[in-house]
Amino acid sequence: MNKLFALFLLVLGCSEKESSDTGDHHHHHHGGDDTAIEDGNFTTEATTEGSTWTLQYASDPDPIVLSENFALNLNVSNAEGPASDAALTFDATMPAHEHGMNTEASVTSNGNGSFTVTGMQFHMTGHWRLHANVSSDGQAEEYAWFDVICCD
Amino acid sequence: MVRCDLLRLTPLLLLGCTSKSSPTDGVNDTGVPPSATMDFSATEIQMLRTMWPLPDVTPDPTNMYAEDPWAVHLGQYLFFDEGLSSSGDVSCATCHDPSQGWSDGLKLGEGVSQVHRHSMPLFNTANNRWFFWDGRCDTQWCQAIQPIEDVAEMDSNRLRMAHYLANDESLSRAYRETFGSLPDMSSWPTDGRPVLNDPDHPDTVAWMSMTPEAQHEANIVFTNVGKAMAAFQRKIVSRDSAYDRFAEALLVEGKATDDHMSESAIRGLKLFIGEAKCHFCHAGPSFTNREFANIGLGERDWLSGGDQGRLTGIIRLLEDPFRGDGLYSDAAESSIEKLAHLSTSGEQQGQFKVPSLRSVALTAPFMHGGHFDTLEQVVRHYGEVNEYPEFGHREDLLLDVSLDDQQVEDVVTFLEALTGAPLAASLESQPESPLFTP
Repeated sequence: MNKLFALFLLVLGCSEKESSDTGDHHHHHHGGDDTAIEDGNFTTEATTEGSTWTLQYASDPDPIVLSENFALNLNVSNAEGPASDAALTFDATMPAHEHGMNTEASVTSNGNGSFTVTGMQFHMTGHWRLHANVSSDGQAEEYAWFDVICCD
Repeated sequence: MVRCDLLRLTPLLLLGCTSKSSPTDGVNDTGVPPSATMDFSATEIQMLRTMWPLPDVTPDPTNMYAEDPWAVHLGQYLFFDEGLSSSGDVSCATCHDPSQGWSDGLKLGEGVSQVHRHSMPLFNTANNRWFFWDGRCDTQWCQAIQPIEDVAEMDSNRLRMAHYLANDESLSRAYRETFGSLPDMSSWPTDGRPVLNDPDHPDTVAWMSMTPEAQHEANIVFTNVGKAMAAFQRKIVSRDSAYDRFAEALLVEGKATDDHMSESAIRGLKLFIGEAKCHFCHAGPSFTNREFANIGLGERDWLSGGDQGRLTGIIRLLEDPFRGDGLYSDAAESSIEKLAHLSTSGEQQGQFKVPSLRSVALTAPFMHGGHFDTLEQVVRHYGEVNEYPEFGHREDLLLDVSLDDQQVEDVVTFLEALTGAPLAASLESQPESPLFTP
């Protein structure tokens, strides 16, 4: 039973990758009734819920190492290009365990929509969700998320 | 349970896309249907690749003597030296006895008087990110010197310790050959240390009577002793267990076999990385994520209570002058990132170190307060979770685990298979002399 289901997930997993390659990255549905995964976004790009901003990230190091601090380099853009007036807050949790990180992350703006988040750490293996809130002077805060499986 | 199964299978999503062929793909290609026990799924294989082999001991750039044979030898001598305690009959080995898995077999440590926590076993501690149950040190040498000044452990102080080295011909020569000359201590008080939050303590008063330069010299001697002891403790490594031989056969030769671990242990391994979810925290080849967790341990008659674990550990760490990014570190820059983002939110309350499980079967009793006498009790705790922590928020993950009697036995059998090959007997006692002969 589990094996059959795993096979099903394997197939799903591949279609997920293909869709991410085409840039269709928002609100993937993996099926099943797992609220932590069903809206999972395992790509490195996301659009905020109000569709104002698009975020793209890369981790340093890549891949992320269990229980070692890592940084994220994020680029935030809007319809016009790099969102130079955007402000960003960032956090991560394990949705299934209802807990966050053991560290406090810091966000630094590098200007022109570029941000560096330092002091991130995944201290348990499994599904982590990265939470980003973007705002700007003329615009209400909007939320986007990324999902990561820690760690190979 | 569907929710949890999905979570566990999620790595398959990624695995499925990488199209990597693995040497173990042939496990099931023999034409003979393997037994359920011997049949390892791609997910299990993927997980085991993160848990074997055990790498060499992690380098410690904060300790330039970490691999120095003179320091290792002097550290071993001092580790077993009861002369470092005020009573003259307590050494590090009193609570970290090689014949008791480098712990002591007691619920709570017994130094000069009773310690408020269980003595941690020392296997593979050089791989730690944090030291003590509460992580109040970030380097092994910071850890090694605190017991010398702890009133319940060795009840001495750094000045007494320095005079002890200087007044012993062999020890002072061994120190000189390892670190260079001891400073001139003729004007130093006999006893002295900065006692935390106690400016009127005689040791604090004596310490404050010294010049800052003399205090600095005393701190160098103190931390050098810690660095020697840490260099020795890097040799206390558990490896080459039955599990290692099993994992090698499976992952290198592509053959699951009960030549090395019993079928019960193999079932226990599958539970460990599957249904029982032990690997969420006991991850990697050292079987620890090197961090902290609140596993919901309740009160015990022998515990005085009030232990907030990691939360107070972080507060003490941030006040400690012997941190990895401090003046006495040999590579302060290497520790800056690790220490820069520590949080003291409620999440840390009631958390304690997730210990390595290498050779865990040698180290009873278990947990920071010696809560359990047997591994069976430990595994049942995770299956039942019928206690409530004195402080903080119990890890929710634990509530999803439920194990029957056979499964408990299987996990225990697997844990027993993590017992490493015996260490060299020469590491398990005090050398005749502190002097190292190359």
